[in-house]
Amino acid sequence: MAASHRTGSGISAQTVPFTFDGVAYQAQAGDTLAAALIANGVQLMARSFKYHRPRGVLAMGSEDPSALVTVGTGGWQEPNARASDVFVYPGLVARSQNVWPSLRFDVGAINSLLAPFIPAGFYYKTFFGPPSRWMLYERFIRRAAGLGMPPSVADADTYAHRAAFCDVLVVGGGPAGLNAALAAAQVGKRVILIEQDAIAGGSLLRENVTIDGLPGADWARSMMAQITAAGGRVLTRTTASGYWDDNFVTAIERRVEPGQPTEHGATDRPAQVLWKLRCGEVVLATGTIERPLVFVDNDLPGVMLAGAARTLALRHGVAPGRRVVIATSHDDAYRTAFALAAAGAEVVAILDSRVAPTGAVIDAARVRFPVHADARPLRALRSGNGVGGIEAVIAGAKRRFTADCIAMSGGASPVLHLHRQAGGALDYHTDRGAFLPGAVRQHHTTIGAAAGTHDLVAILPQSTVVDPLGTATPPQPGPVWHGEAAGKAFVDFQNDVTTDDLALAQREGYVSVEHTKRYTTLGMGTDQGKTAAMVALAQIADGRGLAVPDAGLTTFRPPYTPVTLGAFAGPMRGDHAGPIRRLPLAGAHDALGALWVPAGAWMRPRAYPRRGEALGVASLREARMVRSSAGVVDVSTLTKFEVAGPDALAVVMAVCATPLAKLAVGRGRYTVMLREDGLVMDDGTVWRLADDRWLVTSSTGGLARMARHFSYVIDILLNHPRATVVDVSEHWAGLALAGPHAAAVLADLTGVPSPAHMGLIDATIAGVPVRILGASYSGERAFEVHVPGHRAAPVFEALMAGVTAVGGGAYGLDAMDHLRVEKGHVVIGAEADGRVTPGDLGLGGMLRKTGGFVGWQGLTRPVLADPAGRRHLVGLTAIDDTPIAEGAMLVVRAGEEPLGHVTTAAPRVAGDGAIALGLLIDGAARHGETLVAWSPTRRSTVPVRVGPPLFYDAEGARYRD
Amino acid sequence: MTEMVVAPADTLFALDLWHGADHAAASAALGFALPDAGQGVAVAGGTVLRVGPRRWWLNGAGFADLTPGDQGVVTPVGGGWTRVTLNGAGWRDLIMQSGLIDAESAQFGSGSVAVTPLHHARCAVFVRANDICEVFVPNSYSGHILSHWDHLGWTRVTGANPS
Repeated sequence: MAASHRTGSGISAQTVPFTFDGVAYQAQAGDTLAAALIANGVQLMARSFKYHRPRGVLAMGSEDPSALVTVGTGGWQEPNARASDVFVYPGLVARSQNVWPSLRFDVGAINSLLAPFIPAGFYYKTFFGPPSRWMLYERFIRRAAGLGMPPSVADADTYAHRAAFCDVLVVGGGPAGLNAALAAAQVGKRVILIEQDAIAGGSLLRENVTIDGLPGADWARSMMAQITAAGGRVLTRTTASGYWDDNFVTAIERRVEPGQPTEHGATDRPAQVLWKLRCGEVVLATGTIERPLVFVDNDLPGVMLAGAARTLALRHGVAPGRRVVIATSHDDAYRTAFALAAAGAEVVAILDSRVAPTGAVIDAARVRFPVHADARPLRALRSGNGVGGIEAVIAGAKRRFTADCIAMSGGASPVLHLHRQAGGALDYHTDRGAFLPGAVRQHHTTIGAAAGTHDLVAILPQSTVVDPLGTATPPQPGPVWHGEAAGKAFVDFQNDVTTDDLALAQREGYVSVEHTKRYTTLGMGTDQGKTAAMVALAQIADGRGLAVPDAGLTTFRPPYTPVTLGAFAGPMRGDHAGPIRRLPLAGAHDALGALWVPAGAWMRPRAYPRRGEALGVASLREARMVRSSAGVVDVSTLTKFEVAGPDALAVVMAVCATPLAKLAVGRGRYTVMLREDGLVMDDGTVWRLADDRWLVTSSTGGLARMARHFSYVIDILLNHPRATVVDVSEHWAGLALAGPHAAAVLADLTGVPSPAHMGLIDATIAGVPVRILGASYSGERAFEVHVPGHRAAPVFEALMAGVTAVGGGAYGLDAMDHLRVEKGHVVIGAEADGRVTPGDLGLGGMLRKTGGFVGWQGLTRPVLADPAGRRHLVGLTAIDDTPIAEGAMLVVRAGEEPLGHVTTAAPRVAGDGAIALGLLIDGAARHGETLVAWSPTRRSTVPVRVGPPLFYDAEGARYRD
Repeated sequence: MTEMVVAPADTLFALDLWHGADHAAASAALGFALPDAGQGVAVAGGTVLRVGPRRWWLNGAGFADLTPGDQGVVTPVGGGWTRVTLNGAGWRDLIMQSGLIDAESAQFGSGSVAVTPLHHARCAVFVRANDICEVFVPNSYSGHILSHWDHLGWTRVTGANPS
């Protein structure tokens, strides 16, 4: 292990044990993994994506592209964590990734030698030539693609979502953000401040300044306390991931560090929270991201941004090297020289690319350090897997320096991702080589360094700021690289994109920056090119002879930093992945051994198989039970509306297409509901409960559609009649009792005669008031018993006892389907598929002849009024008793153009064989024809005979008294 | 305390007034003033919540035979709803983990009503006191929602309808 790089001025004396690649180390509390490794003399942390080049840390924040590691084990394993964005916790297990057999000796590094054969865009070129070549390449490319490995076990963490509303959201807890948040909180506004770091302070954490007599970090802590005391909410370790329309901002709060185990089953203590922030105003104080300089081998471990080096020294008490060269294009990096010198490092040289730099900090530096003007690095000199020095050109002359750390700065880019996501414009400032925020579209402002203000006195005008190095000045961009030395000069460190790659893309015609991005992978990956974008843009613009803004910009898409899929899912996982609606009698059905099936969000009993009984056998047994005795099926999910008021009749007559005006109280009728275009929207029954009160039922899945339709009729068509529509779907649980013994069973339970078919009575079962409707879906004498949901259990129990006594029992959805197919009853979504008229379904005769219902005029259109060429509902009987495939095409011969399709198939309940319903062109005229139900995907070819859609009790004798 | 008392909302009725109805006449017929939008009030016989532009909920056995005169109608709906009483100052956090509602707003104090989706289901929220909130949950979604709230550390207690 290398010697410690601790300077003795760390932020904590508390030590924290952790491991990296199996080696035990000690960190100090508050260290990031990157800081802790460098403190322990470890500069080599990763291998690059493409060339497997050795990499250390470039930046000390979430923008770092290089030091990606895997942290945690088992269900807490997280790949591609940034070592600079993981705070060390006791027991942290970190591993290098994308290496074999070891980080120090990685066979993949041979890719560097193969670089001429795998230039930018090589992947696309593998598509050239015969497809068989790609089959060969694919194996290698797939194996090489990607960075860290995903965990092999389920995520052990839990995640939460949380809404929050505020008058002012401040993004960024640096000096500008803290100041803005406190000012807003003190005038009574609801304020939320979010900061991606574990502590507030931002740039103050890497500066030796005092504000109002306090060191910068202490001042930041004090501001946080004041904001909280004024009623503000402060969320640290929280990153704004996206800025959406209407000032809606999403943010991810990390409550534990990546890979850090949480207590199993502690669902109320999530690892991460996805905040959904509705904001009156958003203040973006997001600071800047420092840019690297471009020179050969600028990616070696030990070459880092000057700000990162300063952070290591001033925040973590770590010297990033013993002998340091500073390479810069502006004043800010000079501050790093002072910080590193104070940390005990020798500043070998300051290389300033400007010809004649002047200023207070430069003058102070000249006194202490060798400052070289008109000086720029040509190449980093390699020593093992790290940097051993630098070759520079100073006023035209080459010169070498021995150094184990190169701290570089090629300017800084304001962090404008959220501003752009919010639709804000950008203004380019040539003197700074940077975009600054322009016009905004939403209610947000950008302040501080992100808006181009770097002077603390200007940011904190009401405070007393003491900065021994003088006023901070705006950054200036580094020089464009023109290939002054041979070798790889990196622009995008994460994707191994070099200046040569950018030039190749231009030569091959991918000149648009969006094309260059796709061709070279520039700006992709976990960092999305945060350190690379502006450097690359300057290179591209220079190559094309354009000004930087004319070279174009890629899109700033959310998320700002990577978001785990778990955070997006939040609590919606497992049983909560989607809404599940349970029947009021779910427990009773479970007790009967129900096999459940999802029907939309509902879970419904599909069948009640006996031990060892196959589903199909159980369903057919249940259906035959209903034909021979009596059965009970839960129909609670049916949609039900009560329509009441003096004008209720007008409402139901507008919605329902059947005659209703003369329907007596206590009577009901089957009906269909049409769309304005005349096509069937839904079907159900309509019952007159009182002169001015009606019950309308419709299909389970039609609730939202019918509610919307009723609203349309009442508020638009009828212009607010004196009638209301109340959804009582869940108020009434529904139990259908069907079979030849049903009427007798019901009469025994109620003590009164059962209602006639399409009659309605109020009665009592098991002491519970119920409403009984005489309606049949099965083709047998049948009733729907409606009972308030909370009181359904004793009624169900009584009904089950009654039917069991006559040899019946419960039946499920499949049996109900078999029964209705045999009777030719349609289902919305199957036979009524949104393209059929009542006439197509054989229901034209039941329509109100006088019209006046929604869809009436639509039906008069020639295309609907003429039945010729339309698809009609037909019955299909398998000639050889073979089951018919649902969805099968109806053809004269396999392979020919389809004439229709099978909508629902079923076994015969009364008898043997297979039957189906189908929609067939001119079907009403084809009765007696033989066709083929052909499904190539199911490999099914079944000859069928076409007939009327009715296989059982054509006279209707079974369901009438 | 983070306790949720779960009870059927048996005695829940929907009061609907016609478009343009005379609210004063309806109130006179009912015997109590109807709360404004976003509000709920306790009256003799139970509580009255405004849950829509022309709809109120009457929660209490005493409302079974009420009518608003010729201004609207009353319809029983309680069989489809479960009432969950959240006891504990953390109810606002719970609600805001379940939906996009500003339960922390100073305006959302005692007597406030909101109808909003919570964990996929359309629910009605009634603030009874600073640390007590009633949530009316559709029966079919109650298992789904209560299980979510179990996970968030709330203790389920079976209760009766207190109105």
